[in-house]
Amino acid sequence: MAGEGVTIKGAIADPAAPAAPDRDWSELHAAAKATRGYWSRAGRRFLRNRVAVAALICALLIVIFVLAAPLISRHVTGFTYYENHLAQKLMAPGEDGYILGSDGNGRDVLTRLAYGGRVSLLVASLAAMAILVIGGTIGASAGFFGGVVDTFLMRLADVLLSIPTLVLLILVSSFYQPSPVALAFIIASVSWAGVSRLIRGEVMSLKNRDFVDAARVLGASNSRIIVKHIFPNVVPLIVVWASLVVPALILVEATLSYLGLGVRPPQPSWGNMLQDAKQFLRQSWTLVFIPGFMIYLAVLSINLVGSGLRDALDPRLNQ
Amino acid sequence: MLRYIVRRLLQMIPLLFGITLLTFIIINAAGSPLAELEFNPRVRPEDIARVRANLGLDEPLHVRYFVWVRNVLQGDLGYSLINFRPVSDRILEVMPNTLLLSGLSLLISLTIAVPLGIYAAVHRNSFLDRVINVVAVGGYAVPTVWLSLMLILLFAVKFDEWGLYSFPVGGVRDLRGDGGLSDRARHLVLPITALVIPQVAVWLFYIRSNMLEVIRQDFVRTASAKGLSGRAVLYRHAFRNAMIPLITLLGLSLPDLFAGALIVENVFAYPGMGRLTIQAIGDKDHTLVMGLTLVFAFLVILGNLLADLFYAVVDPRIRLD
Repeated sequence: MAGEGVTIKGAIADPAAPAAPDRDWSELHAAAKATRGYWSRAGRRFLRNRVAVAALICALLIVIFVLAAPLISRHVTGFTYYENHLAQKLMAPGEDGYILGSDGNGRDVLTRLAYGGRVSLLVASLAAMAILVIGGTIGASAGFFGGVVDTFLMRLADVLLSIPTLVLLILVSSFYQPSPVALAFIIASVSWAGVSRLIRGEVMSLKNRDFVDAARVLGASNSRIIVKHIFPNVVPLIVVWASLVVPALILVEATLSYLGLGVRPPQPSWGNMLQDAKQFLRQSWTLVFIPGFMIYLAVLSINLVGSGLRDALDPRLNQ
Repeated sequence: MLRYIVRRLLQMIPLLFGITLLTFIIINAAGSPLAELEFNPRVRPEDIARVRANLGLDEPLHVRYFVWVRNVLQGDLGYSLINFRPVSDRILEVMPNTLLLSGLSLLISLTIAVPLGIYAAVHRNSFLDRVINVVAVGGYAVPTVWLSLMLILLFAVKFDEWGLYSFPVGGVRDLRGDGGLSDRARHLVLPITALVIPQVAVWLFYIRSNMLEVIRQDFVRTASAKGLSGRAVLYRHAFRNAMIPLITLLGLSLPDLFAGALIVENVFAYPGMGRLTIQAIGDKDHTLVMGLTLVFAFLVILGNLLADLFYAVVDPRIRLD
């Protein structure tokens, strides 16, 4: 059933289909239906992938855990993420009512883990969206307009890609004491180059397709062509990209926080919990193990969801 | 070939120019490196003005940029604002450490990943292929910071507690000892392991999928059809073609390699360019930061150029002119 022709491009403009001007609308209608069929088929393919489904459940559980942070704080642990109990520092998990132990200031680890995850996931997903908006706009303009615009924007991308992103990020975030939202935008401002290239390439190949020419002949404006005809074709690419970049961004946030350049304590993030725990390696191994393991779990599960999505959305890549 | 090299070298000029401009703008958006002096009540305003004038910070921005670029073109990266040693000296004394760390980890990763990746592709869906895949997926997602800390926890802290040999976790050599080769090697074990594990995972993906693609191609079928042994087909025909795209990927992976080294150097207090970068940013040592960024970028561009050239040497189908 997952035939070779089941790509979204083929669904919208089948190059083999005979040109029949008087059947224009019915063909467009059929094309719209075919697009829906594409997504439901992709969904079914995804659900057949047991690893990806398990990973999706794991990722959703992490999201729920993180969203429920205030509830966990109030009903499960009874601690806030910032309250210090210096007499009860470095408790082992389970000791004295600290379910996952307490840190060097006697703060409850489980509560901080839930709140810290909020920061990590918020920064990562917000940064992914911001990268997409910046990189997508730049890539689409470069690919669509070509010429000087393309040259200028892509040389700019070359410059950004030549400097290790982490160096740039450390540089920019060292100036500010960023809030999670600011941190996301800082990350986006230096990380858009990769996706802009990706989208540029896709747009360049799409803009020469027959269905774009057809739209142009029918008098569609540039913006209409981009939004209505090119954008829907880039969506699968974007979905896959997003599911693979969010874990990478979780790692970036963790690294920045570890280097002391992320959100400021006492606000926890998985990265700065790691940094805080490092000095207690000898006293308490769980303290450094737990936040890192959460990062690992989140990155791993979203990665697996991503590769499941890639296999489901683009059957050509199935090996 | 020569024309291509010249053209590529000429293309590097605007790129490097753009890098200097971007670095300079970002650095100066950070504000004055003397900001902390200005808030210090013990420092007289006229002293600040004097320091500012001596460092050339009272010139307009564009003048400072062109002075800096002119000096860089003459091979002068300026002086560190913290101890007034030449920036190039400070970078050169730690660069070998970083190159050793990243180069060695890359070499070890490829040594592990190439045979495993080929095996996985050839014996696709076998038990070992599945194991390799799981290891690759697991290794790819592991956060380098956490991995480093876990290595310290196990091989230094716990091994010490259990009375086993505990690996050193900081610096490049034992400051009390003579710093011989074996001492330096011991200091490299944990940092390199932390770099190798995620890298092996990445290379396994690439090598396995490249090899799978090549195996399916006509010339491999031809080679088998004309009666060559499986081994000859694999190594003489498939392997060599599967390795070609890796050269480009090698060039493209350099920024990640340096980023990984930056993290590991900071966890293990390893005196390399990554650790120096963090120190310089903390010190607001603007000239040193600009110098380091420039050197990182230069290494990346140079690496990509070498990869492209090597690519052409290995694959005669590619005509560069």
